[in-house]
Order: sequence, then C-alpha cells, then structure tokens
Amino acid sequence: MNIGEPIVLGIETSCDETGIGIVRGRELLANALASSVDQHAQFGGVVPEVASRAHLEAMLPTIDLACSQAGVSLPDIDAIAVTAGPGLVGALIVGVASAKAIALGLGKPIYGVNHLAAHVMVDELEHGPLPEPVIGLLVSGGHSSLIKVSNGDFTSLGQTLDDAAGEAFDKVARLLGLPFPGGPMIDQAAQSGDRNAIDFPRALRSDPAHAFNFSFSGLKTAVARWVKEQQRCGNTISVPDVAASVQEAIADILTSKAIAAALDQNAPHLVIAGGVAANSRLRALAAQRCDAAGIELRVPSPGLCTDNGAMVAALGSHLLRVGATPSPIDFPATSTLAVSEVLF
Amino acid sequence: MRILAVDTSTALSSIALVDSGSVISMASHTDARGHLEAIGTLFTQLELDLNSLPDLIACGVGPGPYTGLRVGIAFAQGLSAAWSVPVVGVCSLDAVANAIIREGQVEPGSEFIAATDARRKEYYWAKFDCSGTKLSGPSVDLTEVVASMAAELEIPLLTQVLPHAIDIAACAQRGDRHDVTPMYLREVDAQPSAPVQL
Ligand SMILES: [Zn+2]
Repeated sequence: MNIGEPIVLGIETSCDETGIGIVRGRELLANALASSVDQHAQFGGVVPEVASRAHLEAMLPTIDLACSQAGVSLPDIDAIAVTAGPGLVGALIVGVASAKAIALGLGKPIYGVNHLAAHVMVDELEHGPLPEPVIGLLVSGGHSSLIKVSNGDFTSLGQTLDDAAGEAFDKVARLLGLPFPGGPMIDQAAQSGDRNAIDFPRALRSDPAHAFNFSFSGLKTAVARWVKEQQRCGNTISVPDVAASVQEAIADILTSKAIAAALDQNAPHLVIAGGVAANSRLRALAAQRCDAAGIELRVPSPGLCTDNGAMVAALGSHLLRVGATPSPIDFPATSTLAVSEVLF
Repeated sequence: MRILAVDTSTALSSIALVDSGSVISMASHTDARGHLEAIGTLFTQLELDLNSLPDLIACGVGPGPYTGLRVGIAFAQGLSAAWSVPVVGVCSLDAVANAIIREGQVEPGSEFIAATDARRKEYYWAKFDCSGTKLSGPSVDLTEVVASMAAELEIPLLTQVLPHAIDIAACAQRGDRHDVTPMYLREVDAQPSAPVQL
C-alpha cells in the first residue's frame, strides 16, 4: 500500500465503453466498466448517438461501482483525469462534463487527457514505471499507431493511413459472416485454421516513405476478391483458414513495424496496447520477435488493453507526479488530438 | 430549500443558485455549440461555497438538441455524485412556460404553446394553461404543423423564450419533477448497415 500517494479518478467515454478507474499512485484500485457494445452489434459498428446515450445512463452507476471496488468515496479523490480526445465528440462530452462537475464540486484539479497516451501509460499499473525511451504500438478498432515516449514526451512515429487494425478485423469478419466485434471472432475461428493457407498482402511492408505507417483497407478488398474467386471456381471456403491467414497478415505487419521502430529509435522496450492487443497471434508473434531482437515486451492484461477508465487514471496520476499544470476548466472535447498533446 | 439548477437544452446555457424562490446567484452564456466549454466557467461564476452545499440539484432534461442537453445533465449528475446531494430532472419546456408567465406574456385564463428550436425545421413544444400546468406535450413536430395547430386553437405560439436555470429551480421547487433522463423524443436514426457485397 502506498498510503501517501494521491488517489486519481479516471473517466473514459471516447467510444462505446464507459470506463471509471481509480488509482493510488501506480496502484490500481478500481476499473469499472459499462459497455454499449451489444446495442451497436445490430448496426455492425459503433453508432455515436447510441454510445452517447449509453454513457450518460451508465455514468453514475459506473462511478458508484468503481468507488465500491476501491473502497473510497469521491471526496477521497485528489485529482480527476478524463479523456478529452481523440474519439467520438458526443461520447467524449458526456465524460468531460461529468468530470468537470466532480472536479469543481470537490474543488480538486482536473486533467483533460489524451486517450492514446493513456493506452500506453496504463502499463505502469501492472509492470511498474515505464522505461524510457519506449515504443508503444497502439492497436484497436479506432486506432493503429506507433508512438515513442521519451523524457515524458509522446511522439507519433506513424499510424494507419486508412482503416484501424481492429476495423480490418471487423470488416473481414463481416465478409466471413462472423458477428461484430470481429476481432475476438477471427481469433477464435483462426485457432483451427492454417495461417499460411493464403498469402494476403502486407501493405507498406517495404515502403521507406511509410516505414512506420500502416494501411489495412486493401486487406479487406483482397479477402473479398479471394472469397469471390473461390466461389466462382466452386471451391468451399475454409473460414478458419481465411481467419488465420488474415490474422497472420495483420500480426505480421504490426509486429515487424513495431520492432523496426524500436530498433530505429534505440528504444529496447515495446508496449502493445489497445483492444487488438488481446489478439492471441499478435501477442505470440510479438513475444517471439521481441525475444529474437532483444527487446523487452510489455503487454497489459486484456482488461487494461481495451478502453477503460484505469488507463486515464494512470495517465492522470503520472501528470500529477510530474507536476503538470491542470487543465483550464473551459477545455473542450475533440475528435482529433495528436498523441503529442498529452494534456489540455 | 436551496436549489442549484442547470439547463443546457438550448443555445442558452445557464446555472443558478436559488433559495426558496430568491436567486442567490446566476450565470449564463449563449452559444449553440459551446455548452461543454462554458459550463465549468458558469459554475465558478456562482462563487458557491463548497462548505455550504445546496439541498437539491435540478437540471433541465429537455427536450433539446442532444449533445448540448447531455452537457447539463452530465454536469448535474456529476455534482450530485460529488456532493451526495439528490438530483431531479425538470422538463425544459416547463421552465420556458414558467418564464413566459413570470414575464407576464400570457392573458389570464388563456392557454399557450411554448416551443424551442428542434433543428430540422421542427419545434420541441408543449401546451400550457395560464398557471403553467402542462396540458399536452412535450412533442417534436414540424414548425408549420405546430404553427397551424396554434392558429386552429387560436392560442399564442411563443418561440422566443429560452429555458433559464432560475425557472428550472422554480419548477423543481413547486414539484414539477421528472427522472434525470433526457427527453430525446426521437429515436436514434441509425439504420443497420447493409451487408458487405462480396
Ligand atoms: Zn482506445
């Protein structure tokens, strides 16, 4: 127990998860979550208005749940951190308005923070202080980016030029008739498939202008074309083989670029975060390749990889520790926010 | 009873601290898009003493454009959680009617329709008697439909008054309370996306 360290409440509402986390220093006290994912399934993707409505409904019950998990009440909180972007503006607004009220009501400082930076910083709750410099590979339904953290500064090394990796999983899952969200479904189907069955393209593999960028939109097209061709020839399609081969293509390109970034930046540590970090093949391939390259791999447990409030609290706690100036009370919520803008 | 009231259901964001009908302090800001940016500043302008909390929080639950509406409700809920003070909802059109009557815009014995902008050429509206009792609504309809209804009933259609927190407090004080649930009135218009073509 680190009794002396400040308690930070974190609020996350950038997409379809209402997350409330509570930390004391780097110790995780609570990570409560309410998800509207089931309400979006019928639409095949996240509907912003549905998400915003669900956040407002879930906010107080989820705060109550987090407080009881942590055994604290709101007046015990020393600071509030909230995701201010990037994300769905209507959804973010619910979290930011709630956070402002709690901060003002308690007379405590508020930090409007960057969702992407929070994804990386959450690793401190499980594996201790982040070594620097460290590379973050951030992969989810909303983002695919490579980040460098050095001297407390977050720098973007590259990102997807079109679809996010998780989006690619979703789209391919729909092509194969698997339900939303596609990532876990593909992972499951791939267990009994042959990952070398089909050689799907690895976009931007050796394009020096895009060394650390990704592109996943072509993958969906390639899968669709392949499926159509098989149907034309009257061949039966093995969903497990397609799933395993697609997953291999995605895991391969993500890990090879992440490791290239680590070597290029002389950063012998890699954190993989975001919902896609739960993918079993990505984890296995990353472990194998990091080992071979002498890079330390840190992957938070799945509950801290998907969007959650603890990651926001972890970043808030970090900002408090380094003496960052709290955000002005009129800060906005914004759909786009570069990772270098850690704090409003 | 001391009531802290909030409303962000229209372009007018407002907040007020009202003690048994007398306004202690209030603040407002007009901006159709900037509710989130304004709300914290408005609260600080109240100069509320955190050692002397209100007995009740009341928030306008619309109807009103969703994104702005949710700012006030989320803010009121957040204060409620921070202070362990109960929060209630008030129909924002009830507050409009209260303001209309307070300003003496209604003849004794007559009825009227209060309406606010619902975008898409529609009004959020409700019909009231001269004491502020709601007779029908809240509903959302095309502006021309609401206008012809008022003309048919030969009652005034008042569209220029915006709900203010002091009227939200008055409605809560006299017991016109709802759940703290936004009055959206429209279903989410998202269609399930079409299956991907192979
Ligand atoms: Zn995320």
